[in-house]
Amino acid sequence: MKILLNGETADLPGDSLSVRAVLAAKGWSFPLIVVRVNGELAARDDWNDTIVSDGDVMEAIHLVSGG
Amino acid sequence: MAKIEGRDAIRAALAKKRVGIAGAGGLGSNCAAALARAGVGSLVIADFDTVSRDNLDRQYFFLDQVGMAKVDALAANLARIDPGIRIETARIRLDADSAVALYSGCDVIVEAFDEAAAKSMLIEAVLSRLPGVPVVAASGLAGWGASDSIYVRRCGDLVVVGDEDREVSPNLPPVAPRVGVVANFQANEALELLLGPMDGDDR
Repeated sequence: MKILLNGETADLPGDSLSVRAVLAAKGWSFPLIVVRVNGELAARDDWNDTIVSDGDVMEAIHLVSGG
Repeated sequence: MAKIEGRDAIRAALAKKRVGIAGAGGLGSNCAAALARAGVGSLVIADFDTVSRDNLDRQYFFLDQVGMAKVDALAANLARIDPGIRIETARIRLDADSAVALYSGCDVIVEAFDEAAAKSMLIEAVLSRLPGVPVVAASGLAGWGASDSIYVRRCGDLVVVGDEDREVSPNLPPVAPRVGVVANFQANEALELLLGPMDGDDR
């Protein structure tokens, strides 16, 4: 499947994946990531249940400390 | 959104707006000052901390304010810019419930916390419980230089400013210019949300 991930096309295996699987496939293991799928927030507790499919738009934003 | 042109029209439009600032440290204090100078009419500022000598290297406070609550010191400084600004302060460590209660009714919320976990908490609380209220967050501002690695990510009602990389640590502290750049980016993004994009700037 192809999704738009952080503004770039990402080719991922299968027809659909959980948010957690997409993050794992990209090797992103930052402790704090905000995820939006098609503009909707995917809360951390829902990463296993939120499914990303071909054509979806996903944003994964890395939060680091400092302010 | 109606076309807004000229200094008076910009200030008149901003005077009706209410912006929440979550955290009054390096980001929040500098962002609040920029918004106050631009003419935002009402600011709601929350922070639990007091001004320390070390804060003066980047935060919008002064030596004679060391020991004061940051929200009180910031309110005093903003009032020196414009005594007409309505400033609400809350000296608390925000959690999801108190943030939602404090910031409901704001047009834009600026996430200006230090810790990544707190940033995540606020973003998730506002996006899930205050639908339609945009959040301007910051991530990645430590160190100096690399001005052009700071960018803006806009996804719906979440805007994130920073490099999403350089985390503050003992070896890579926050330093005034880069903190100020990100804080002013946040203020600028808040204005775009409040006023709409500039004419001809079609996003």
